[in-house]
Amino acid sequence: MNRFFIFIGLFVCFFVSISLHAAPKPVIVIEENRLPSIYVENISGSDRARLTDVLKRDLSASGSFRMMDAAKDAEYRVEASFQKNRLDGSLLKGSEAIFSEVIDSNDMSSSQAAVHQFADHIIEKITGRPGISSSEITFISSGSGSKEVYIADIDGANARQLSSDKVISLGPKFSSDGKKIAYTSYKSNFPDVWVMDLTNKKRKRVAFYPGINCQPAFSPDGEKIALTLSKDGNTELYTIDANGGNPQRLTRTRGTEASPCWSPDGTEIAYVSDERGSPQIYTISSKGGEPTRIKTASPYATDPSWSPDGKRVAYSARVAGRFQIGVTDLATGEATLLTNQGDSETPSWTRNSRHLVYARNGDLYLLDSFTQKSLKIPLNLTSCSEPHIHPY
Amino acid sequence: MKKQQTLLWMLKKSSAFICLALILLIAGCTTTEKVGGGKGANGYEDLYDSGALPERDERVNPEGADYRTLAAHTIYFGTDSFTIDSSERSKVEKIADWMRSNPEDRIIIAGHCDSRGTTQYNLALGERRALAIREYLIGLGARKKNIFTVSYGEERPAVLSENESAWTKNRRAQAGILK
Repeated sequence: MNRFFIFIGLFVCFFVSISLHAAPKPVIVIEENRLPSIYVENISGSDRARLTDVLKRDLSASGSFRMMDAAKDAEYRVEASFQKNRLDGSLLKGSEAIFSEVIDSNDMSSSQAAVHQFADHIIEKITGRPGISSSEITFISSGSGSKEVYIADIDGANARQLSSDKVISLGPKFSSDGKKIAYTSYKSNFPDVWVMDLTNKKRKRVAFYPGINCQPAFSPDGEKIALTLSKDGNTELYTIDANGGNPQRLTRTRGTEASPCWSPDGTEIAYVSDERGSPQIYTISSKGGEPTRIKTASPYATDPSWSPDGKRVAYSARVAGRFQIGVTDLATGEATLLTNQGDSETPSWTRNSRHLVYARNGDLYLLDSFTQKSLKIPLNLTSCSEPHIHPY
Repeated sequence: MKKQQTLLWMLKKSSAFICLALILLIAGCTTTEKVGGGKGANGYEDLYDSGALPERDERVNPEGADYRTLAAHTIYFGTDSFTIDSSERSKVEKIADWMRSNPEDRIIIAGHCDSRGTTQYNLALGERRALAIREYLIGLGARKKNIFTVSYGEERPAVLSENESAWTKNRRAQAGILK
């Protein structure tokens, strides 16, 4: 009888230990065969092979469809033609046209820009969520021999070098309207904050106080820049006017503060502080006040990024000596890991609050936070880091 | 009548009490504006404030500084730390001695990190290390306005390998003499 009870006890312990040892689980479980199926007819007209490929990859990357090889197997069908800088496209369900549109690519940067816009309309129509195919990324690459600022389409096409100071450039971030990029450069031999105007290719130095000036982030309304300064004798968070000046100190600790990131409504700022030992993520009112620590998936968490729907903060989390992308749900405090291949760092949310872009060992990846699948962004540039996305 | 009077009296007294309580509550709830000043989360006031960094001028160039003279006094740090170990303190003292002998010379302290953390935090940590040295020097009597700081984070390792020995040598603060 005793042996029986011991056996039962061990069995229960075994079961309990199995369930407690939970591996990182997907935030939302998506059943592959429940996704709407879609078939993309080859685009007719000029440059058809390339544009068809762009359209298929945009729809596939959204993670919202089952891509079918035959029209008869698909719930939805996409047809389009591209002639004389005009994309003529339709989304059909059975015999019914869900929508048809004409997109003029003359005002756009390229013919594929029209395809990206069409793909986003399809995604929005079927899923109700914004598409990210038209998004752009800014990032750092040392491919040219020094760390410089680059811009590219989110699918990796159209990469352009924006700076060529041949010193160290770091941490570029778009303004909400996508017309400016703020970043850190050692052009003056000190780390200073610069703002590049993409419309006229001019730039302006907006923070060059004593010590370091770095990690700028535009406020959602474009009026302010949050950044890290050490001018008053310690590394702290400040805001300045977007054109420079009027520094307002937000934090006051003995530790190191860094990496401010605004909430989507501009009322709060998430940032890093090691005032309690290792770096952790805190939030503070954008006017200053008492900080609140966010629960994270690791005792070392940096590089916060706030989702556009305001609900989650993603970050770099050190796990077993390597970095992974972590995410915390602000309402529940639940923290999970979204990657399991290190070193995955510096996440940046896209506008759909589902996908993020991050850097892993010199490459950039598109991460689906629902399925935890990562798709490498084919940039053909070496040592890429610190991506930031527009629109957000 | 008496009952009514008592009730009225009680009502008056309690309403006055309630008003007073409300006033105290509201007064307690208002927080002073914290922009640019006031107490931080841990209640520290400027007890350890070694003061604002001195303004840069054209001669303050970290790239042109002489890092050799004081190279023997490069200070090394523990992982993810900006505290100066007791074993490293004599080096800071030597730098302070040098500054006392060269009171008109200005120095810049360059803070660095090893490659294992993330880039942005490492840039701030490098500066925090430089500031810790500066604070210590000022405590030893060095002139605030003669000490500048800069950080290179993990961008300028002294040793390029990825091993414990290299990492130890990269977590450093170096004092450069400004020309």
